[in-house]
Amino acid sequence: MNKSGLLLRLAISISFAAVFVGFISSQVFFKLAYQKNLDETQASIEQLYEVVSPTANIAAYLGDQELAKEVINGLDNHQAILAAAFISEQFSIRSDTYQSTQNKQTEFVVSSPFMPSEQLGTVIVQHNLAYIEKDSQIAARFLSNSLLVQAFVVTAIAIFIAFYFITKPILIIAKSLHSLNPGTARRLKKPTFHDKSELGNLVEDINLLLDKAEDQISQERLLRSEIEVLEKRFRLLFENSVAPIILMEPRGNILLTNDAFKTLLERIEQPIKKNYGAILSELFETPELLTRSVNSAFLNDEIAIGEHRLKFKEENKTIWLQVVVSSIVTDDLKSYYQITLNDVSKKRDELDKLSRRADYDALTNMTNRHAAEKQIDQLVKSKSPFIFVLMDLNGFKQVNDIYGHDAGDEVLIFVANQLKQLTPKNGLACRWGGDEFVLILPGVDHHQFETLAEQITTRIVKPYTLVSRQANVQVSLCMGAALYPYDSNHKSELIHLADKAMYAIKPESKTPGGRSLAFAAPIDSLERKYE
Amino acid sequence: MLFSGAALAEKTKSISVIVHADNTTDTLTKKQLIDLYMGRYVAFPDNQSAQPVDTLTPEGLKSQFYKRLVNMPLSRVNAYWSRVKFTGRATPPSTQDSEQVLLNFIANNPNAIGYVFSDSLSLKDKQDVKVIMELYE
Repeated sequence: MNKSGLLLRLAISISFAAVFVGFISSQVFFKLAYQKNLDETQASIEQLYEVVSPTANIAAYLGDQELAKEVINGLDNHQAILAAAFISEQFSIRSDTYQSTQNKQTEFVVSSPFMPSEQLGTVIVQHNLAYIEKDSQIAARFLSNSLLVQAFVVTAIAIFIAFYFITKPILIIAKSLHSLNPGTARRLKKPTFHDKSELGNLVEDINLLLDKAEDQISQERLLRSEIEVLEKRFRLLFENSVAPIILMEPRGNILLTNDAFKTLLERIEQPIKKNYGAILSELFETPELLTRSVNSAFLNDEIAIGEHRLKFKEENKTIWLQVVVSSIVTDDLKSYYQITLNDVSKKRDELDKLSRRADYDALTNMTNRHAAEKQIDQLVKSKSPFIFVLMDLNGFKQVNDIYGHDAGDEVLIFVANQLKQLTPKNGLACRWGGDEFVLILPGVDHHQFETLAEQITTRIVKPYTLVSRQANVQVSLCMGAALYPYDSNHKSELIHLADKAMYAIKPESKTPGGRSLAFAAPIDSLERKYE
Repeated sequence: MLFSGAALAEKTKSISVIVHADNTTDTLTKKQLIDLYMGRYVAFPDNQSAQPVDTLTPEGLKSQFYKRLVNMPLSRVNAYWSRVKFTGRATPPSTQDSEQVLLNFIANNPNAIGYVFSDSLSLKDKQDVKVIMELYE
């Protein structure tokens, strides 16, 4: 039983100590008592002999055996005397129990009652050692028995006191401590009579500890609830984000995603996986580009932001995602990537449309002047040789005037289609404005172009039947060409030269069978001519 | 010797131990006398049987005799005899009433031995008894 652990140990300790002390003291007491008994016996034998000595003297003096026997009997009767012997000149009397070998005996000299100097015999008294020992043992046993009783009583009292003053209060304290939850306002009560005792101090200390614990716990609770609120908000932010957010290891193992990411996966018909390659590269059309741009951003300690196309096409439309990758290094030096995706397809679409509108001519659906100039800029930038051809329709104004703008538009579309068809793949045909068109043909020299120009002229001068009017109309054209970088390496100058050349040939081109193409003259000669 | 009868003089008066004039014993040691009077031996050293006798008078003679013999008061001597008599091993000396009776008894009894104050002995007495020892204070 757990209850009496302390008590049992106390009882056993006290009992052992009592038995040990009792044993030792009874041994010591026995020795002392034995010695004392020996001494006392010696003394009492001497006293006894003192009493019988006159009789012994007379017996020896007279040789009176009867009297001597009386003496021996008198001595024999004493408990402490085992045997006695009376030896004189006339007789020798021994008691029955007399032993010839005895280690403890006392000899008394018997002398004449009238002349003490005259020695008449000896009385030998043998001590009853067995009796002495037994007597001493009885005394020692009495002592050890009383010690045992005392030990028992002391043990009982000690246990009683220990139980009422130590164990029971401790049990009460332990019980209330057991049922007590730290952090509550409950405190331990001091046991009765223990206001100032060690147990009372213990209870005070425990209560102090409980105070501290309560303080700490309430602080922690406050902190925890704050953190919980914060976490809830973060979660709200994260879960409800329209943009997919992914937390992953640099190798691509996804640790955390929000619902938006799952929605995206569903949309692009991808299974939910643990890994889509580093930075989700499996999902993108140009993974190397993505990886390279992210790596270069990270090398420069920047957040990687880029727009990338997904492999998946939704109804044949490209999905563009803005990919924001930031590298996170935690306190324990673990590296993570946080990836945020934004669908920018719509914006891209609009941009595309915008750029199309900017670069294309709505009527003829061919590139416009803006796009052509951009093309020239690019070619000039990369120093690629090309030929710039500016052309103008003859007779277009009349079509417009006679048949109206719709007919004019129809003619323009017709011309544009012819030009589109005849322009080589690497070339560009564009509506420069009004009835002016431009060809930009990289890598074409003027001989090659002369051939092409003939084909173009042949096609365009063919009579054209207006769809709306069921009437044949005919237009011709004149062309001015300038070569880059042969004629000039500046865009505006190149355009200017071509323009000059075109206007120079314009009058001739209006005449049937006349030339319709002119190459730009070198600036110097041209300038000289105009001078 | 000059102050006969005076109590004070008793102590200084010598006591003569006397036997029959024919007794062969001429002298005794004090020990031999003690042994005879205290009942240890009942014969003279020459094995002639001995019969010790006490006298009741004069006053102080017996007590002086025992005092000088064994240095004991009469009470102790009596106590001794009372103890010894019980076993019957020895008998105390017989008693005569006076010195004169004693002298007559010894004169008529060759085995007897007794004592008187020395100054009580007349010349006539000395023909019948023999002094074998004198005891002084």
